[in-house]
Amino acid sequence: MIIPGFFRGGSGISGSAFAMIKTQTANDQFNATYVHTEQDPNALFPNASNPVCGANGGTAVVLWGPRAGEGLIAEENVNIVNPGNANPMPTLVDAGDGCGSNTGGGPKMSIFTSGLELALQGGNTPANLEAFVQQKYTNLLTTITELSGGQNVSAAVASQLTNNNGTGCVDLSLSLFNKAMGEIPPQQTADFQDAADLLTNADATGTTTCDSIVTTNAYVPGAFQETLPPPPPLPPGFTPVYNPSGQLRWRFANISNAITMRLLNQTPEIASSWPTPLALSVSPQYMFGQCLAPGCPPQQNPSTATLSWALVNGTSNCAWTGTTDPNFKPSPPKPNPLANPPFVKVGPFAAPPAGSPAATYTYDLTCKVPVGTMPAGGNMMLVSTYLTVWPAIAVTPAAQSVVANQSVQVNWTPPAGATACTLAFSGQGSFNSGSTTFVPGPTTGTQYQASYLTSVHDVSKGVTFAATCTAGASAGVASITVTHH
Amino acid sequence: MRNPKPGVLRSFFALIALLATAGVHAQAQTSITVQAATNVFDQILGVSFASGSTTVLNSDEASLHRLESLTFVTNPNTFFVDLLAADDGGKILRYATDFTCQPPQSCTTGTVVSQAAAIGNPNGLSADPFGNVFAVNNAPGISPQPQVWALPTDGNGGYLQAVNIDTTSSAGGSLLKPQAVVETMIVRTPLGTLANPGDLLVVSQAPDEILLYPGNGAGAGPLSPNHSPTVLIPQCPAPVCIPAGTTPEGIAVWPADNSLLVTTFGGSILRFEISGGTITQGQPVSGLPAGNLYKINSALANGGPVAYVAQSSPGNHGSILELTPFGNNGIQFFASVTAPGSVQGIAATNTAQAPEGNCLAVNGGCDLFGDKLNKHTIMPIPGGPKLAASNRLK
Repeated sequence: MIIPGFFRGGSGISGSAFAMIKTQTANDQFNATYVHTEQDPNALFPNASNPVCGANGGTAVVLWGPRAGEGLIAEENVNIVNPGNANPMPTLVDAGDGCGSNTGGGPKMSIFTSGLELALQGGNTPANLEAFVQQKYTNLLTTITELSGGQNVSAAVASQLTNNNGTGCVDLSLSLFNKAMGEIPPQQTADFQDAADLLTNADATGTTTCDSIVTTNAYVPGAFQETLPPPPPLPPGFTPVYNPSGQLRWRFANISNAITMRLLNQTPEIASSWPTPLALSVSPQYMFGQCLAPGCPPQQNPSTATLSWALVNGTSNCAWTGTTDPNFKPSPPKPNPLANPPFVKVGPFAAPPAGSPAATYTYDLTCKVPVGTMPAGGNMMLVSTYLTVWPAIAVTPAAQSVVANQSVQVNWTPPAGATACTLAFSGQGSFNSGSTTFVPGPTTGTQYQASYLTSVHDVSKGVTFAATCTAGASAGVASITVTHH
Repeated sequence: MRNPKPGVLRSFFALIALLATAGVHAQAQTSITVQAATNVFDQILGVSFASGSTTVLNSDEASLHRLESLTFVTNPNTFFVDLLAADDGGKILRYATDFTCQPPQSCTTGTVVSQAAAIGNPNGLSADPFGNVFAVNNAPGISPQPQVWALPTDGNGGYLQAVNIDTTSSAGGSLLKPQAVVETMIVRTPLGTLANPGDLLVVSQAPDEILLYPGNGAGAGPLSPNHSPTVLIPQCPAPVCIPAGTTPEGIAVWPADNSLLVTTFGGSILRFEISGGTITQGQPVSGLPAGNLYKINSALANGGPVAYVAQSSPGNHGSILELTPFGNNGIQFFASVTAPGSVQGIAATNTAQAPEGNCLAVNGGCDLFGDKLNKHTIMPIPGGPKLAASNRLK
C-alpha cells in the first residue's frame, strides 16, 4: 500500500490518525457505473479536530485505490511492468469529488481512507495546488492512452477526449487550465472555471464535454469494454480492466472538484456528486470579436459559441442570473433552461477596443435542484461559465497621411498569447522593411513595426492595414490617406 | 460462475482498520460482530454487549460434540463473510454468510468442510488474509496427538486438502507426544522484527509456550510442512516467559500497540510487548473476574481497541468478557455477557456485509458502518441494462 507523501493522517486527538477501509466484492459488476462514496471522519474520530472538506483551505481528502488484482491505475507505473500485474502495492490517490461531509468517486469500491489530509510539500499554496491538479491531468491522459491502447476505450471515443490536434475535450480543458495558471483574476477565474466545465456533462450533443462524451457512448457497442480475467490460473502478465467508463469519469469529477473547490474556492456543493445536478458550459470558450471598421478582413471563426447545460431530473425554478452578455437579453430572449433544446447560440460580439484586455462574459444559471442532490442540504444551485472575446490587435500608423512614394511606419501589437499573426495592407505599395507580412505570434504583447512604401495608386483609396492572428486576437485595422506632392 | 449476468449485483463486505498513533484508537467508533461458541451445548452465539445478551444462531447443535473454536473467513466466491467452526469432536463446519442469508434461504446449519477430514480433533482456527485457514489437532485426554494443520484456499471459496504442517516427533515432526497445541493465530502486522505478516503463532501447553511457523513472506501463512518452528515466547524459566503450569489457551494482538495477549486456563491474561527484536513482559490485564479463560480475539469497537475472551466456570457456566483500554496503555476488564453454557470459542470482526444492490442510488446507497462513515452509492449510466436491486447468491 502506498500513500503518497503529500497526504498525512490528520484526525483524532493525536491529529495524525486515519483509517483504511477495504471493501471486497465482485469486480465485474460495476461496468458503466460511477461509485460515489461519502465519508464523515467524525464518525470514526468523534470529538476531535478532524480535517475539513471544503473551499478556503479545506484539507480533507478521500483516497481510493484498487485492491490487488483489480487492475492498474495510472499512478502505478512501476507495477505495469510487473509480471502478473498483481499490483501488490496499490497506490492510493485523491478521489475527491465534493463534500457534504467528504466525498469521493471511483470505478469500484476497493480501498478507501478516511481522516487523511492534503499536505503538499511547501504548503497548500495556490501554486502547489495548481501543480497538484496539473498532475491529475497527466494521470487522466495516461489513463485514456492506456485504456485506448488496450481496446477498453475505442479509438473513436478516445480521440474525442484527446488527440494529436489538441482538440479533444481533455486537451481543451488542460489547455485552458494551463493558460489560467499564467493569469491573474478575473481571466484566471474564467479559464479555470471553463476548464472544469469542460469535464462535466453540460452538453446536449455528447460531443463537447468529457462526461457527456463518455456517457453518450457508454452503451455503444465496442466503445467501452472490460477485460475480464479468465478462469485461474491467470496467464503471466494478465491485467484485468474493469469499468473503463468509470475509470475516466471519476477522474473528470476529481479534477473538476479540485479546480472549483481547491483553486476557485467555491462552495463544495457545486461538486457534491457526479455529474453535478446542474452543469453549464460554453464552447468554444474563446472567440474572435467582430471587426466593424472600414477595411476589416472577413470575420474569422469562431465568432459565435454554443451555451449548453444539463439539469438533473426534478430541477425547477431556473433563471439566468448575473449574465453580462448584453445581447443575452431581451433579444434574442434568454432561453428557458427547462425547455429543450438545452443549448443556445451566443454571439457574435464586438471586439474589445484595441489595447483593451479581453472581454469576458459571464453566464450564471441558478436552479432549484432536488433535495438530496446537494448533500450539504441546500437546493438552490448556481453554476457559471465564461466566454472570452479575444482582444483586438492594435494597429497604429506613425502618420495618418503620407505623401505618395514615401514610407510610413506601421506599429502593430498582437496581444499576449496570440499566434500566427499577419499584417496585411489594401494598397498598391509594399512593405519594404521591418516585421512585414507575417510574424509568428508573440509570447508577450510585443510591438512590431513594418515600413510601408506607398504608391501613387494609393492616393485615391488610401491604405488600410489589417492585422489578424489565427488565434488569440481579434482583427485590428487602421487606415491612412496618401497624397500627391 | 465468474461472470455474472449483466446488470446483476452481488454481495460485498467491507472491513475497516484504523491506523496511525495509539491515540486514535481511543476514539474510534466502528461496528463489530462478536460470536462465541459453547462447547457443551454446541451453540454459536451472537453476542451483544449493548444489550448484554446472546442469541443462538445455529440450529445444528444436536449434531455437534465440542464446539470450541470459531473464525471468520472471507469468501471470494460469494463475497460474504463465512463463519468456520471447529467441532473438536471431529469436523470443521462452514456457516455460509455467517447467518445473514436472505429468506427463504436458511443458513443456520453448518456444512462440513470435507477437505479437513484428516484433522481428527480440530481446534484453534485462524485465517490469513488470503483465506487460508489454520487449525490444530487436539485430542482430548492425556495424549493430545498435537498437530498443526493448514487448510489452503482454492481461491474460489473452497479448500484444498488439509496439509499437515507439523506433528509429533514420533511421526517425524517437532511436537512432543504429551504436548498439546490448542490455538493458532496469523500475524497480520509485524510484531517488531520477531514476527512478520503471515507468520503462524501456535499456543502450546506442556511446555507452555508460543511457537512460530514462518509464513510465505508475503502475508500468507505456512502451507507446507515445517518441523522446525521457533519458540517466540518460551516456558519459564527464561527472562521473558510463560510460567510453567499456567496452561495458555488463547492468543491475540492488542491493536493499540501490537502487544501479544495470552490467556491462561487459570484465569489470567499475560501481556508481552514487542519492540524491535525484544520482548518484554507487560502489565497483566487487570480486574478479571474469576474463571477459566480460553480463546481471545481482538478488534476495534466502540471506544477503540477491544478484546473479547471466552470464559468458562465449573457447572457449564460461561461468559464472554470485554477488555478495553485503561489509563496509559493499560487494559482492563470492562464488561461481560453471560452465556447459556461454558464458552471456549470466540470470534470478532470489524467486517460488515450487505447485498450489493443496497448500494444502488435508487435504493439510497449503502452505509454499512453507519453515520456515513463510508457510504457508497452506485450510479449507473442511464440507458444500460437495469441493475438488480437485490442480492444474488451463488
